[in-house]
Amino acid sequence: MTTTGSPTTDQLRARFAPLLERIHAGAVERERDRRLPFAEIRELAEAGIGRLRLPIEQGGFGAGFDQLTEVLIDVAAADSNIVQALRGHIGFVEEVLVSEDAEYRSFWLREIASGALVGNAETEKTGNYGNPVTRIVERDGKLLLNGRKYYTTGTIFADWTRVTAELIGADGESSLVHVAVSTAQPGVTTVDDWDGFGQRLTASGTTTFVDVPVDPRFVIPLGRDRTLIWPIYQLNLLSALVGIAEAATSEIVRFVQAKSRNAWNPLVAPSHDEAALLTVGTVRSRTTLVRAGVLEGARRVGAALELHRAGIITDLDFDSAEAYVAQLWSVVIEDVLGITSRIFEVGGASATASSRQLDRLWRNARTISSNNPSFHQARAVGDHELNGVPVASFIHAALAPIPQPDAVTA
Amino acid sequence: MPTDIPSDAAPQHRSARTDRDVLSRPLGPAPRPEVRAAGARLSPVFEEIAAGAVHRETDHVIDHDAVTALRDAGYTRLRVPVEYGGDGLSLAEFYPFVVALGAADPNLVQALRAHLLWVEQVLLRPAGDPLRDRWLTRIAAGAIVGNAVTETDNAAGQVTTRVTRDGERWRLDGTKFYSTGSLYADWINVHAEGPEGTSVWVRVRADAPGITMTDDWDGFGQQLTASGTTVFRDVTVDPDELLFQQYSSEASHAQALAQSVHLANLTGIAEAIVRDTVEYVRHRRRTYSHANTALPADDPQVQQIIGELSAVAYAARATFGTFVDQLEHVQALVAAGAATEDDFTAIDIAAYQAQLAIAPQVLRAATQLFEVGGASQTSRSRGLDRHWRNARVLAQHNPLIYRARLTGAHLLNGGHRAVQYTVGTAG
Repeated sequence: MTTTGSPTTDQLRARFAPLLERIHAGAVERERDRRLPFAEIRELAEAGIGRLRLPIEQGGFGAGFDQLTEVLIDVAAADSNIVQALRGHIGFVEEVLVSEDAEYRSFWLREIASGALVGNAETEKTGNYGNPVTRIVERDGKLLLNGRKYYTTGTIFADWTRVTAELIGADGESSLVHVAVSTAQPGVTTVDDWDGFGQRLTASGTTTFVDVPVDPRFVIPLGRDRTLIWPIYQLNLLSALVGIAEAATSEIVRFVQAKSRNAWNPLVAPSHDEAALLTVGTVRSRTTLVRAGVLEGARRVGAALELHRAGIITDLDFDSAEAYVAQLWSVVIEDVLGITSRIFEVGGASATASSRQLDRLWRNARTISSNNPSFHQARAVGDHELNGVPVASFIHAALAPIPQPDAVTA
Repeated sequence: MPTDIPSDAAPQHRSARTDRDVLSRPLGPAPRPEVRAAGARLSPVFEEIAAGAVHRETDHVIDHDAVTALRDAGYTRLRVPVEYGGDGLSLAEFYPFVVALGAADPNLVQALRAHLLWVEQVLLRPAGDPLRDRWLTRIAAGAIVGNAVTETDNAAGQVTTRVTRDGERWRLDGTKFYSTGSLYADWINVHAEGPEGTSVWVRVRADAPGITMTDDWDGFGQQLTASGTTVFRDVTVDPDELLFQQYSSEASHAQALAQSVHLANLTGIAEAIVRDTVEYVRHRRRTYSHANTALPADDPQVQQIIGELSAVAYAARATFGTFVDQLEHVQALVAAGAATEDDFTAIDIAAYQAQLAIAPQVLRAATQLFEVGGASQTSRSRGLDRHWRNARVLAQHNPLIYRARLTGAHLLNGGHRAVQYTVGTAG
């Protein structure tokens, strides 16, 4: 849903196209040299990537959530690392937009409009989402944050990071909260120790907080009110996967068009070879379908966000938005992983040259997909269809404390 | 074909025997003592090679010691007849060793592929042929043969590398790419054009003056096969090593034989996928709160995925075993001089079918294995993505779409001939 005067999707995409072309041109080199996309993300922020969803009168573009998703797919096609690095920011903006706290909302809208980016710091190696060891404790009348988070995707590029923590009140009462803290504060250290074989430039490493002062106005209770943060986060990864499928399709087209040698079928030009025609045709079809599915998910979540902002959202609206997005996972994962593997069927060992880094597409897709084993989602969708169990109960379980198993003997 | 390498030795270096060991026990008739003895020699070498696979890839180590260990334990002479000092294994007895090496490190299967194919070529020479005696003796004594066949700038069907007469001597000049395994080899088997456009195969010593090898193969998988460039400049050729042989016009089982090594390797990768995924889950403690159970190993969906992966490995072994039995049959006909063009067509099509049945499933399994874990499973320190990268690059030999089309065309219209394809640039 767009507000009056908002740009069309084509206009938004055109705005970023020249910059994304440059970002795409450097993707192989960044991957090979493991150079984090600081400059690229900064340029995107300056072009407005972080404030697309803000109303025009508040310095944004008034873009619908589906329009944002279209742009993110383009960004992912240029470099999928960047979309994941923006995941925390995209979610944070949506939380701000539906916040009922006027002071909080106006502070953050101004901050985001000025180009600030917000990363995230949720996952822990020792604790877990529902039972973090990261704590905010009151000392001498001040709230201090201490702890260590892993997979703090994008935080290294961001001005702020949204941290989940256990808040220990003066009365000893504890509750689960999230809080945005400035990454420039002393005591906040981010290290790029992420060593996955894919999405290597997301800087999904460790962030440590040592006696970091916390602004009490930014402390928000977690889990009290229902939000759409889960489908928003999922759609970020799904957009990245669709962008990878788009990149795989266009990169293999370019590869075949540039080829003069048709190793296995020397009498036919590479672009007229049956293997190339079939491969490109199949991956194009699958890319189109996963794109359509993810955009429909974005449209539905966008509609639910509008209802949320208007204060008229019902449980049923949450349920149906979540159920729709959950349905996308297993098929999008399977198709995109299939696409990034099948492109090589156009033939020839030269497609596997490290200098082309075409395997990065599979490695990136595989790594994104490993954020959530898809069978969890498939099972939740089945439970929803068969037994009417809302997907929300699966999500709540995902956010609940993890039972700690006994040590396993090696 | 038996499905596992037999050995008198107890399972090596395992903390506990698992049900998998029981499942993979060979069925059928007991293996011959020679096969068991070879298994006892090679099993520890395979285990050691498997243990170093991730490290070798991460640090790009061309591990001559691993190849030496394989040679010393007899891997390179398993097919050489006993009277020459080999183990005299049949193809069906031999291939489980290739599969096992593929599971340990598929780079080494590929690096030694040219050697295995040369051994087969030598074995088919008539009894009493001096080349046959000479080479079987050499191989039994430990000689390793690499190859240099493919060129990058040639037109289709043409070879720019030349063997020419230079006064009293023969010389070799040219540049070859994808000269797989040559860095590990003592000899290189080179395909060249001889006088008057003849096709000639010639063995030269890898350390002969005038040979330069560069490890410039930069594929994202099979990184340690040393499939790089070899340059020959005025290399002196022993006339006894000139083997004039048409490259492409005669029907043969050469392509099926060449493909069999890739199939063994892919089957080994399927085994490795099951091994590594089981290992990962058995030691994994971290789970998801929304998972079904506290421990991943107890999760029905994780168990289901492991079951599916194991079925891929099972199907690959079964398919490959059937193919090897067919190959052995054709090989025997060839040795007896009784093979017909139809036999070659049949084994060629069987190789295509086996490739179509095995390769896509192994690639799929190499992708699906990550469904049992989370982001930590993608850590480069585990190197689990190597299975997909290696399988993808192996499957790159001979696009599957052509294989399917040729198979279908033969079933519909007949007429397939098992002739060597050529690689080149469209004119």
